[in-house]
Formats: sequence, C-alpha cells, structure tokens
Amino acid sequence: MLNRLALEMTAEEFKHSILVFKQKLYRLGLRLLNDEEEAADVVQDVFVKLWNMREQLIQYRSVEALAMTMTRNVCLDRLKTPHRMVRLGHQSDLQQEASNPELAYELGETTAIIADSIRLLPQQQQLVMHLRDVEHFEFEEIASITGMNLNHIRVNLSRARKAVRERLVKHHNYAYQGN
Amino acid sequence: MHIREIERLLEKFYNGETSLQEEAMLREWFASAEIPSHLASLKAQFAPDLEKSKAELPDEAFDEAFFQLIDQHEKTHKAYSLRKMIYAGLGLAASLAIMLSIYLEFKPRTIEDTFNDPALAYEEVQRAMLFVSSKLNKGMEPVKQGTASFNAGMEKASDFNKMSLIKNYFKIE
Repeated sequence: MLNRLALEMTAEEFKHSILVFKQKLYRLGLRLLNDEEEAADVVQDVFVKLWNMREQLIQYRSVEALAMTMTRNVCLDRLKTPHRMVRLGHQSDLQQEASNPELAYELGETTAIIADSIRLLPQQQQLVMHLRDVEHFEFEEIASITGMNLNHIRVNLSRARKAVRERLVKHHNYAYQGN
Repeated sequence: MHIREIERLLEKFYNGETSLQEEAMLREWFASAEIPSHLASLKAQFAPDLEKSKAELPDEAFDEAFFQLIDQHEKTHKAYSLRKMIYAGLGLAASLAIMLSIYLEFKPRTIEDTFNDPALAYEEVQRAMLFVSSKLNKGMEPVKQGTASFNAGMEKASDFNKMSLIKNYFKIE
C-alpha cells in the first residue's frame, strides 16, 4: 500500500517535470519524420523509456536535452527501417499540402514558405535550425542533442539560415514584380 | 535600436554567431519597429513562433493515455512474474518428487535393530520362537498321521520277508 502510494507520487512528479516536454519532443519528431501520427508515437515511446529509467534521471544535468536526444535517436532509427518507404508517400502529400495555396494563405504565406524551405534542407541543417530558431536551445545543448561539435553546428546553422533567407528574398522579389 | 546595429546583428545571425539574447532582440525588433524596405523580406524569419503553433499534442489527453499505457505495461509485467513464479514452484515440486523417488528406489536396505533393551529383545525372540514351535507342532500332526499309515503299510510289506524264509526253506531242501 505504501509502495503504491510512493509510485503514484512519482507519477505525479513525472507528469509535472517530464511530460511537460511533450510539445518540444513532438515538434522535433514532426520535423524529422514529417508524419503527425508517427511523431506522436515516438513521443510516447520516449516517455515510456524515460519512465522506465525514472530512478536514474536525477543523474542527468538536463533531462530535457536527454529527452530531445532520445527523440532524435528514435526518429533516426525509424527513418532507417524499411517500412518507412511506404510512408514516404505520406510525406510528399504533406509537402504538397504545404505548397497548397489555400493552406498557405491560412498559415500566412511567408510562414508556409519558411516551413517549406526548412523541409527542403539537408537533415543536419534542418535539425540544427529547428533546435535553435524554433526551440531556442543553447549551442551546448544542441551539441549534446545532436552529437555535433560547436563549429559544425554554427556552419550548419549559418547555411540553413542563409538558405531560408534566399527563399524569402526570391519570393519577395517575385511578389514585388507580380504587383 | 539603430539600423546599423540591426544590420550588424543580422550579419552575425546569418553566420550562426548570435547569442540567444541577440536573437531575441532581433525578433523583438522585427515584430515592433517600422521595418525599412530592404529588410522587409526577412521579417518572416524572425516571427516569434517560427512554425511552432502549427501542430500540437493534446495535453491532458496525452498524459492520460500515457499513464494508462504505463499501467498496462506494469500489469502485464506483474502477471508475467506471477506466472513465472507458479512455473518455478511447479518445477521445484516436480524435481523434488523425482529426487525422492530415486532415493526410495536406490536407498541401501539395512536391517535395523529395533530394540534397545536386551531383555526386551530376548523376550521378543522367545515369543517368536514359541510362536514358531507352536505352529511347528501343529504342522507335525499330519506328518505323524502320514508316517503312521506309512508304517502300517510297511508292516504289511514286511510279509515279503516271509518269502525269503520260504526261499531259504527250499534252498535247504
């Protein structure tokens, strides 16, 4: 009975200190997998793993960075499995959706362009840009999540930001000429 | 903020060298200030929630589903360990039964002395002997009867001896 009580308290603590990362993990999953259902599945998967190691979590300096690292690893594993080939069709659907003018209007045209151009970046650039410009992680945290060194991170980030800028400027000029 | 300062920060930004604070400053500037036309195209890149609000997990529903899943995991784990314990118990019982039967089959058969008191042992032996002798006497009765009729038969058979007397008689003759 006492044991059960202690367990419930840990569940409550887990909910307030660990499950609160869910949106961040989900956005990272979505970024890497381009599939809402699978991203949600990955997040649950990561939380189950964290739950099973809940006694050791105190050893980690940042459980958030750990959770992000695990999410990244699970996503990359899933990208490697053969059944992903089937799901790639789903991904291109999503890309088309993003380029769909109606949806673009809803999201705000330029936001859609950004989403689109990020999606076209190489995976490492996408990952670094997502962690920095969407989630605002410190470079040290990005290093621990991605396993890249600081210099490599800066180079990737710079390339990604410039690529997005290029798309935006092109679109702006096109819109300007169109008027 | 001076436009020169913004341009300097932008250059740092595109080289991947700005700090988080500097990036926050840029976002703030693009959100509030009158933006000169040559920088207007960049505004979207400094939107405060770059693609963030697009998709979200349902907060409470997710937590509930998660703890249900955990409960389920732990229940199946418990059921599994209970089953394992039952199997272990059955295995233990079976191996004990086998060992016991092997022991009973092959144990050395020694005749054990059941009496500690010599007097008592003597009495017991005597009792056993008496029992045997009484049975023996009883068993001797039919034997006696048998020998009696045998002797009777033998007496009659002794008449044959008379034949030799006759034979002797004729020899003498």
